[in-house]
Amino acid sequence: MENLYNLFPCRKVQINKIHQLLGEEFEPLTDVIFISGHPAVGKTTVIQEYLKHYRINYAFINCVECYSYRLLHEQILVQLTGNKLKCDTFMELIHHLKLLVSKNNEKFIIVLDGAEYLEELNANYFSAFCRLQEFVNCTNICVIFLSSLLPEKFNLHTSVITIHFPQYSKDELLEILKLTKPEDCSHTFYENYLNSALMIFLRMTRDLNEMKFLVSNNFEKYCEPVKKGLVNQDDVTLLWRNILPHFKESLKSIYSGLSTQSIERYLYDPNINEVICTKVSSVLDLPYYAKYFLISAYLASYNAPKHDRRLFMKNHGKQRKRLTKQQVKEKMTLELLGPKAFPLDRLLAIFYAIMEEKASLTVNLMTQISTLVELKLLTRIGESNLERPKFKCLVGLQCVDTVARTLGLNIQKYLLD
Amino acid sequence: MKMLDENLEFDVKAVRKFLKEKLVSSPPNKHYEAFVELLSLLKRTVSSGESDSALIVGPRGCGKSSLLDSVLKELSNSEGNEYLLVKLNGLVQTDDNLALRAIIQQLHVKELEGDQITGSFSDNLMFVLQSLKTCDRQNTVPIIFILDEFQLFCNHKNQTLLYNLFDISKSAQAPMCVIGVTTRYDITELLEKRVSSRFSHRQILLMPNYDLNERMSLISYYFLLKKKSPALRKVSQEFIKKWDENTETLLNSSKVMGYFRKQLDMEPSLKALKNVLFSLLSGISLSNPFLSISNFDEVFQKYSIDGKVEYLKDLSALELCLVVSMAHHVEIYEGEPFNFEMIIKRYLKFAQQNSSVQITHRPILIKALERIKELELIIPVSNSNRNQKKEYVLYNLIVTKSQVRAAVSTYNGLPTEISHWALGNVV
Repeated sequence: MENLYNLFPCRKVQINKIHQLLGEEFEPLTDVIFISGHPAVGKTTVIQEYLKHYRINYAFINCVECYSYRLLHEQILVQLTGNKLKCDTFMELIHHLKLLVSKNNEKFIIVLDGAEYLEELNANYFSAFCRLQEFVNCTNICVIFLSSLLPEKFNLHTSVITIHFPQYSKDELLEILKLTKPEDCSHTFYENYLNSALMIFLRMTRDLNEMKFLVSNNFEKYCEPVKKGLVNQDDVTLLWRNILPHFKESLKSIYSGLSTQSIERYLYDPNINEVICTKVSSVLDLPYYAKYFLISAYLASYNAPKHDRRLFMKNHGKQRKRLTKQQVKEKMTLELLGPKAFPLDRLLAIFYAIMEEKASLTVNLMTQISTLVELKLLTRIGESNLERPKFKCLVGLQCVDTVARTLGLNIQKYLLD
Repeated sequence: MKMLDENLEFDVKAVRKFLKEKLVSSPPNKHYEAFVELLSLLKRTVSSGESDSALIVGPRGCGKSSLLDSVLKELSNSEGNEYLLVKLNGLVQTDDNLALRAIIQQLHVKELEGDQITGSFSDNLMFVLQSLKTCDRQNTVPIIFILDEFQLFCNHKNQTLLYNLFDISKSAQAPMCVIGVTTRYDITELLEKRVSSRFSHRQILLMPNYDLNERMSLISYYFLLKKKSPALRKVSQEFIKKWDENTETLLNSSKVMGYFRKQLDMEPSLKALKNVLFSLLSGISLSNPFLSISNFDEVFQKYSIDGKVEYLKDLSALELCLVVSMAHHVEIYEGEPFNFEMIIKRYLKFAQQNSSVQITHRPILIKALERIKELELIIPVSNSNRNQKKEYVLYNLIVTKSQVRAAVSTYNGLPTEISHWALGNVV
């Protein structure tokens, strides 16, 4: 038991609760335990280590992997019995489990991780597993559901015993992160570092995995001035001043799984000015005319048709002043609905307006549009209308702007705001 | 001293085991009228060979299964009654083919001895029907069919199984009784016309028990050791006496009564009660050999806290800010749905007023919003969003304003400007 407490700091209450429900030998088990909590609070590892530690027979199934009944049933049986049995239906599963529990009276536990995916498989499966004890007619079997959703989200027909794993608080995070201390630095030094890191990052995320990643990434930077001999190890304020810009930089990459090193590489590369927009690099490879189509699609989606005349014609007269009031209203609807749909004719008209050269309208040109639809950069609305198809642009300004720049086109010229 | 400890340990373990086992078994039946009605119905089938059908209807956890169990127990206790029992459950036998296989399995049909019955649906159906039809009235053993989760059988294709079962029960063939168990009061509406016309329309309605005294007597049945039982022979009398006294005073205290009253109001089902009692029993250990009020406090905590508020409190400050923005939006626009773009705009407006809020980087805001979506604190308005930019997909917030407020005011270490903003007036 002590081992488990040490392995999972700050999870003592939860481990005790699990132990109370599962730990006693020769006593009946409850039929269902539901464990809920945010991602990365240790639901899966705690339960797995616990079951391993006490050598309880268990089957651990991640429901994401089970896209068919068969995969689910057979995994359960393989892990519990050790034999690969063919099992297609829930009825057969119960039959096999009945055989299993009639042979020995040990405990059997089925852990279903990601229980929300079970509902996708079959709406009734959740209730069915809740009553497994009744079906198998044995109190030595128990189902444990793990999910990051609340139990009330599920189609629960019965009440279940729930254990909530709360998110780690700041002090708890500190305690856990202390375990990651590299060997060659002192306790206080590392603790100071963690304190300053948590101060910045805690507002953004409380996810332990994310935090671990951020902390380990920035530690080298933190140590740098000390190693160079510029700053004393105990001078917290100076170290703090040194590390702050790095922290701020890595704030931008949170959740995206990019290390700071790779960001720097991008930052010094003049060709790419936005790192996280992953669409940029692929769009850059589009054919010449497709780029123009994409830009025209964007313009068609984000400008109202009545302004086309003003934007794309050479002699449009002067009305610039009067427009300001209407814009506010339009902005609201744009914000509500996002990009607007436009017919093919309008796309082509804008396409020819922004293209300086003449391109004859051939099949080749038209296929570029359908390519863009296939790449999901555009979407087609109303599949039924063959004569006058309508489209919508799905990319943002950042992306279109970069594309336009590769063509030497200033897109701001064609936008009203 | 050590000797004493060992004795105590043995006592505690034995008592806990005994009580847990009692808990998982069926409780005594409380529906006496229904009991008499059902018993006479089944007796007519079993002893005089009359066929019939009936439905037991009642909300979850009101004692339908325990009623059936006690009736069947009574039936098998009385002499001279030979019958076969077929138990089906709509959750397990998900289509008619499986149901037929289960029927054949449970009837122990000689020709098909073995674990698994295969064969096509029509073969199985023919087989079962033939064997049910050809037998004559006098010499055959009556069959009792119990269909649990009856409403799910109604979804089967053409309701073939139900049609055939009811058809046989109406015609003068093998004596059988079909008992359906369901939670749906509108169950007869689900039956097809041809099925409905063959059903006897006998319904046994059960009501859940809202009476606190009855509930408390059930709890004492589960928790008191009074009756001598062979499993407890080795437990010291002193311990049993002390246990009973302690438990009785606890159960009579107004606080515990209040807890059970509250539970009865919120979740009257028997299963909920059993879970609570099970958790209470699990809390008993060597260091804590008798129930105490703190055990009750801990277990009943779940009725006083709101899971969603706890979930909101587990969010990071940024995510909570975004949820607050959503709550404000919903309040201003009176429940209209929102998209990411609006929420980001509202959040940035707040962030610009407070220089201490540093996070304004757009991709991070979107990631945070997606995390909130994954926790299903917001739900998309429609399912088909494939053709939309994700920033413009419309969502509904599914936590209430008061839940957000409760989370904000109890959140540990939330910057004051955020709580000011969240708790202040928006309109």
